[in-house]
Amino acid sequence: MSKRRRVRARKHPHGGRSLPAKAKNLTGRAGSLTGSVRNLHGRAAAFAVILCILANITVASGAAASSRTAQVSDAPWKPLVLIGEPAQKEGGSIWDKAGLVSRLKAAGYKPGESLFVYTPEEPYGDLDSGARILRQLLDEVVSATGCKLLDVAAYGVSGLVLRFGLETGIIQDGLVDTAIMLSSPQRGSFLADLLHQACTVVEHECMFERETRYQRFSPFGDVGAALDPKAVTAKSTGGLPGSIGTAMFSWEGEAWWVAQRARELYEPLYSQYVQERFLSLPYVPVDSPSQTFAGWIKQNRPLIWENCIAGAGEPPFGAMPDTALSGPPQAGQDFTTAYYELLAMAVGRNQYVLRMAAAGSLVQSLLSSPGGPMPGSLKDAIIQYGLKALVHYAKKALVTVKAEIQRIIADTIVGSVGYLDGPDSKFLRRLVKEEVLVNLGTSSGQRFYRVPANYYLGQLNRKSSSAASTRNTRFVTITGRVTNLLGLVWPQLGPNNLFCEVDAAVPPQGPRDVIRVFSGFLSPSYLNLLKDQRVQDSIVAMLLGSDEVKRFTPGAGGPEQIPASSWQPAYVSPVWDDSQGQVFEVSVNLPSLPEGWECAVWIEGYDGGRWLRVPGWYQVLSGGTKTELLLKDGSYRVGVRLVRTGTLNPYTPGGKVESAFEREVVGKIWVSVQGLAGSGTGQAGGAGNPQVPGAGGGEPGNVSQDPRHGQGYEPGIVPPGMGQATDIPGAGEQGNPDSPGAWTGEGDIPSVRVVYRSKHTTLWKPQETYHAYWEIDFGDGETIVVQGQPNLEISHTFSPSGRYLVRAVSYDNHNQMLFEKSWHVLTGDQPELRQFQCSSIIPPEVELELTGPKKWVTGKHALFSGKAQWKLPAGARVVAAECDPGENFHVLWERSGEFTVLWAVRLTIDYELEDRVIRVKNTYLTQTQVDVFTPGITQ
Amino acid sequence: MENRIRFVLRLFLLVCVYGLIGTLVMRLIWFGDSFVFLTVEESSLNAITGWPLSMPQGPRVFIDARERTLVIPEKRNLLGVCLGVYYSATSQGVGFDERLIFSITGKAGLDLTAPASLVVPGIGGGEVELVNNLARVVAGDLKVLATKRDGTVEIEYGSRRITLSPGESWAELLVLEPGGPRAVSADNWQEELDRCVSLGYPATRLAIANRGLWPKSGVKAGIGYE
Repeated sequence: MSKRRRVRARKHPHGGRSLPAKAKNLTGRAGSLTGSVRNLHGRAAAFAVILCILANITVASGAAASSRTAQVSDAPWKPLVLIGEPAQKEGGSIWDKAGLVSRLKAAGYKPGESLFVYTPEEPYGDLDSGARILRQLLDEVVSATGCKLLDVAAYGVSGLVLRFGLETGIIQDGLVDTAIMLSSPQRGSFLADLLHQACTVVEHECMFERETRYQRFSPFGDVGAALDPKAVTAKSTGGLPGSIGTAMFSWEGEAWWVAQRARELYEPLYSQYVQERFLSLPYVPVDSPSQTFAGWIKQNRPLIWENCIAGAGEPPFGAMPDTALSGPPQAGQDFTTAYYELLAMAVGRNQYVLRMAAAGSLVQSLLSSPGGPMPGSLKDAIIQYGLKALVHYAKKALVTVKAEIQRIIADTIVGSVGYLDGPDSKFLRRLVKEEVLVNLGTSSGQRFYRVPANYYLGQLNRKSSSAASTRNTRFVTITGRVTNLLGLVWPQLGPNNLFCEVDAAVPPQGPRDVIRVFSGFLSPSYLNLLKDQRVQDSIVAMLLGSDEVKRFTPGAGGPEQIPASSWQPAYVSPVWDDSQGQVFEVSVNLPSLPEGWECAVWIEGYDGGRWLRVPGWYQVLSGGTKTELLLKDGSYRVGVRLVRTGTLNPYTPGGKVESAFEREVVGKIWVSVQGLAGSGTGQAGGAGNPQVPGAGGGEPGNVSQDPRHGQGYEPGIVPPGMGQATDIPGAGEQGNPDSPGAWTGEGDIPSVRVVYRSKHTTLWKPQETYHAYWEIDFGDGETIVVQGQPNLEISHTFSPSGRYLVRAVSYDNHNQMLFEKSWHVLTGDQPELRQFQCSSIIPPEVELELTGPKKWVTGKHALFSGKAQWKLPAGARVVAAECDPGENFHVLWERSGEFTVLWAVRLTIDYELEDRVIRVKNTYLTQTQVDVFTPGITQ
Repeated sequence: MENRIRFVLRLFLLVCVYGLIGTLVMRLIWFGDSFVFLTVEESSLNAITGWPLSMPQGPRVFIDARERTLVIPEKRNLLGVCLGVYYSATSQGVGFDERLIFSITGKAGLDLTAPASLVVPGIGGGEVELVNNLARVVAGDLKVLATKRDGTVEIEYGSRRITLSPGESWAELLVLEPGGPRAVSADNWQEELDRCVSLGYPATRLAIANRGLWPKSGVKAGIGYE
């Protein structure tokens, strides 16, 4: 008998209480949410409007997601607060308009008692202030209902504000049981990025227009001559001041900094780019005609790229401490230096184009402009030169007109978005993407470059990631994914719902969190997500449904396969009876997992009316490993789910950006439950958890130590840092072809049929990637090559009064670059000896063992079993272990002779080096010789 | 007599049809799973009068000459195609025109003298044209006259005939001066360009590259599509 049902029964009394007037008013404060379409602008806006019109046609695809939702089983016992996006105009709430409120009423929610709808009337201002507004709102609901556990559903940016409040403690952890966040830009929105960049460009265009107004309209003035394209040499490192990235850095404001960088570096660079790439002779065809300005800098000015973009992942004033999250940061602390450089890049190229458009003085235009015969009379001369003067000034005036038009457009767009309070809105800054993909337009595999942009949001998510397995609120992410037509003109844009990309809508995932992504051709987009019936079904099921639990009857069969999903947890529990002292061993075995995913396994206990992860009983396992857990009480269950360890938005070599969460990924795991008779004591390990009801001071379970390293059946026998491939139980006896244990090829064990000697049991080839040599450039003209030494330690003496960029590049055994590390050296009045340390990839020690018969006969399956053990260097971990043909496999020879049986293991290893993770795939081979006879002859 | 004329006409028609089919079949056999890929880049110094505010950068067609792959917006049937021509027009690094032509006959045409356009929104629903077509200096239209089995293409550009074997390229930088258009020598293009910048003269480089035979399997349907 589940305790859940018991506890739920006592929750209902909360629903009947009356509300004070203040809380009741919440339902009347609904504002309109029509501003959402205005998030889009320019071409994207027009595009979105068309889509909005069409979007009412709901295309029923991707229905599989909702079909997985749990059954609605109970009436609501917790109040539900629905929070819309801030809107400036009055109107019905988005929840009402979409019909969700009626749906919830039908499900048992009562407005003013257990259902509260709130639409902020004013913009939040900032995440911090917005979270305080929401806390106040939730406090009002708590005091009105007396219930200290709420469910909250927040739409769009309100979802981000809600999560910010929960992550930073502004909203008390545990107050919100389930936080449903719909289409919330948890990692930023591409539209905000576009809008912020456009606003910056327009701001600087207006500044440029004002500054050059006199020069443009003066008969002898000229704005073109001020620029020297040769100002930036090929060896330039970009001229960032030595103090950047530290608290000592000083500037006169963000606009000043961007303008300065644009004028001194990126405008001359853009001039070089245009000349070298588009106008130079002789013409040398480039590999990628689509190469962008950024791609050109990376390829042709690598020092600038390394110094200003790749190595500038922190804000100009340096990294913020974690404690700084609670207060809003100032400009220069929230964006990375690299992002400011990208802004300066956009401003620089815009100013170059403007300068070219405005170049030339009136005198030059009159005397040098091509075309037309010499005027024959004064009248002709007046007409001819008058026209030239008019054209000249029209061209000059176009710069002013365009700047003004763009300023008006930008102001209109920003002003019309409900949650932005102006072009300088802090909230707009917060919505810039945590990490942007820069389109380089170069060859495959290098088409995009990841640049950390919104440092503040990134820091929030890093904090969130580390706290994901301990927080008490369950995050539910619901978003849409429509056909990515914007990707045609914007290739770095991943799957999205016209507001934010799927990967950007998903916050760092905790074990109990749920993701739902609804796909369609035109719907559900950001604008009509709530109208989609599948979304409404999903919300209701999430609020009122119960979790599906796979019940195992101990001893009723072998291991069973259950799906571990990337979208939601799966639960496993033994079938408990009323007898005391029951102990069950739950064995979880992960043969292999999809690349970029690992599996979280944990124990949940029932506490205070809801299931909560038991502190300390959480582990993340990679493929090819297994673990056992002991359960001693019916108040516990085991949860499993896939967790993303790879990139959230990977892109294919062809340049298509994907999202790890756009589709549900399912890994097959094997689970078995064994009853341990009479083992009520002495089996459990670890600390007790007195907070868990029903634990009785005992321990909920026993988790294998350090499961990341792939423990086998006996925890602790493999030293840390070593692992082993899983042994599948049930393999038959080996050695004698006529013995009862000899295999005949049935079952799931792969079988290889061999006719000729050239036939190999695996086609995998041995391959290993490891560090081979360093190439070090000290930035003062001296370069050296160091063979080997994966743990590099080197010193060098630098000349006085210099600024040097030291680069160490690690190359692998295939002569390919593994990674690059750089240091900035600033020397004083004296020569200085500096030491540099850096680590690269060290190959693991891998031992393979292939066991099987040495002599066999034709026509019968011989069973071979492989076992792999490895020892990894520090900072490395195996994320996947695969083998070919299988951990156990059969070989069937059709002719006699001496044959070689090969077995291969492929390890995917992540090396954590400095600030990056490098993944390598190594393949190892082992072999054994077998003499095969024909039975008739041998007998 | 009528019958004879009719017979001759029929025979002529038959020969034409068989000739056409034969040519196509021959091309199909010659080129099979590959096609000759040509890139034509028109780059002007100052044909754009302003950076478009919200124009996302990046063209719709992505070319990777190293891997010989082509990512295009939508799926195309390349059966019988023996020539692909990619044309892009830019000024100050801003793209304002882009075309991709696949040809079964091995012939293609680009009307370079036709006006190009890049329109951005203006006040009150109006539009602002950003391309100054007077600042595009080209010698005439471009035609691919023939594509040979070995990948060589014959091109007519203005009044000029150009033959490009696979891997070969051709370019011309034209400057529009008061006396008319003038081709700039490769020896002093930098000085000439600096002069154009300072005097405000329009200049355009037209570059044609024969990228050789590309596999049709390398043509992939677009970014953003399922």
